[in-house]
This record gives sequence, structure tokens and C-alpha cells, in this order.
Amino acid sequence: MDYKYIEQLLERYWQCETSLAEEEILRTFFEQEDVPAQLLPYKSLFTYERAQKDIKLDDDFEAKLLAKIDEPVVKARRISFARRLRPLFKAAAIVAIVLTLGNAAQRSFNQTDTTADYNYDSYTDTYTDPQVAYDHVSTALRTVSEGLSELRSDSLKQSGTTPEKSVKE
Amino acid sequence: MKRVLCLLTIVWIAALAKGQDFASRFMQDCSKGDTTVHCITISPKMMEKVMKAAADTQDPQLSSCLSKLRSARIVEAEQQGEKYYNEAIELLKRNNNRFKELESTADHENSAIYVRRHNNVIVELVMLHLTNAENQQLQIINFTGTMDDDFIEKLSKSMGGGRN
Repeated sequence: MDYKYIEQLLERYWQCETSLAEEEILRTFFEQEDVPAQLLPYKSLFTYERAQKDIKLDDDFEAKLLAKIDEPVVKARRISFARRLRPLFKAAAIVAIVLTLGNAAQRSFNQTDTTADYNYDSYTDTYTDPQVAYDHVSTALRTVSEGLSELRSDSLKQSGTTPEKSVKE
Repeated sequence: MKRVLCLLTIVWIAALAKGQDFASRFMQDCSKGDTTVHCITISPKMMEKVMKAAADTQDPQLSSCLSKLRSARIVEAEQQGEKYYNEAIELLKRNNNRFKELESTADHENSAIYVRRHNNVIVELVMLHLTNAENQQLQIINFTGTMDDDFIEKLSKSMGGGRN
């Protein structure tokens, strides 16, 4: 088959000398199935335009686009001051627990001072004057002394022993 | 966070309960809101000042006894003494792993002495005493410190006790 005419048209096409009708001839030629091998490289050049024209948007394109537009926007949340400090509270609580447990363990291991387990920090003095406090403590000591003596002598009377013997026992 | 706070509260309450002496337990459990019950507190800090005041009085026996004490609490119930006495005895018996009645003291209907020992050292002494004839007034004397049987012996013989 002679493709001389087509080759001439192509040559003129490269020289930009072809008319619209001649370009249409070229397009029509290249749209056919059997294009000779030597002209095949030019096929896509002339079929491209029509092929692109056939490309159409999908039916659901608009819906997809609108869905993209209406996607919820991530807004900045207002965080309260207490909420902002929450990690700090957690850290403080952990430190407090560690210190409390550590202190409790230390106390139980090192109980050389036997009165140490009394919470003396919670004691609030009734009197600020040491002399008044002294009067009360000395009176209390005397009362205990008398009470001890009385209870012991009653005990001895019940058991029928002498005080000295009881002391040794 | 809530769990952490709960745990802290439990630890705090446990620590607080552990550090209580008998007088504070009595005031907390038995005399809620009764204005006729008073508690006098002498803290360890005040006790140090009391020691200095005792040194001025030139009473060696009193000074010797005071040196063994760390704190003192005196609870006085002006009314319903007998009722409070029974409640105090009940409280002491409920805590019988902590407080034991002092050996060599007889059962007495209007007074009792209990002690708390730790490694043979008396760390707390509680004396209950109904003071007037109608048993309407109660006095609870509560000492903490490092007392021993020798201290008890000295105390029973001196400071007025020896008069009997």
C-alpha cells in the first residue's frame, strides 16, 4: 500500500503548511486500526485529541467533590486551666504516693525510737505558758502515782504478799 | 486520677489512725460533741519547756519522771463519768492487742491503769479515774514516752504515791 500522500501531508504538517481539511485527513487516517509500522509513532499525536474528548467525569464525581468540601474541619478545643494542669497533678500524686510509702517503710524498718509512731504533729498545746503546763503535768503525775500505789496495795491485799516480794516478782 | 486520690486518702487515714494515742481515740469515738468533756494537751515541745520549769523547782524525782515523758493528755468528763469510764474500758479492751492492764494492779471499780509496751518499753500509759463520790467525774491521764517498770516502781513509791 502506498502511503506517499500521507507522508507528504505529514511533511507539510511539520512545516505547518497543512490546511484544516488536510489535518482532518491525517486524523482520520491515524484513527484506523491498521497503521503501518513506520507511521505508528505519530498515531498518538493525532488520536490524542479525540481520545481526550471522550474522557468524561464520573456520575458520582460531583457527589465525591461535595463530600470532600463538606468534610468536618478539626477545630481547636478550648482546654480549661485545671485540665491543662492535670498531668502535673498526676505527677504530684505519684510523687506523694512514693514519698508516703517510702516514709512508712522507713519508719517500720527503723523503729528505734518506739514513740515515733505517734503523730505528734497533730498535737495542739492547750496552754502556752510552760508553768501552767507544768502544774497540770505534775498534778497528773501525782494522781497516777497515787492511783498506782492504791491499785498495787489492793492487789497485794488480794494476793496476800508483801510489796517487796511483789516488786521482785 | 480518682484511684490515685482514693489510695492517697486511704494511706493518709491509715497513717493518721496509727499515730493516735488513747486520749485522741477516746475523744473521737466516745465524746462526740459533748461539751462537758475536755482534753488538755501537752505536746513534746511544751514538755521540753515543762522540763526546764521542773529543773527550777529543785524536785529531782519529778524531773526524773518528767524526763521519761514525751507528751501528756488529760481528759476530764465533768458529767456522766461512770458512763464514760465504761466506754473507755470498752475501748481499751477492744484494742487489747495494743493496751494491756498493768500487771500487779488489782481490779478496781473506779480506777484502772493500762499500758502499751513496745520491746519491753512502756510507750503509753493510760490511767482512768472516777474522781468524786457519786462517780460523776472522770479523769483520763494519758502519757506517752519511754517508760519502763523502774519508772512505774519509782512513780508508785514517790510523788504522793508513797504516802499510801
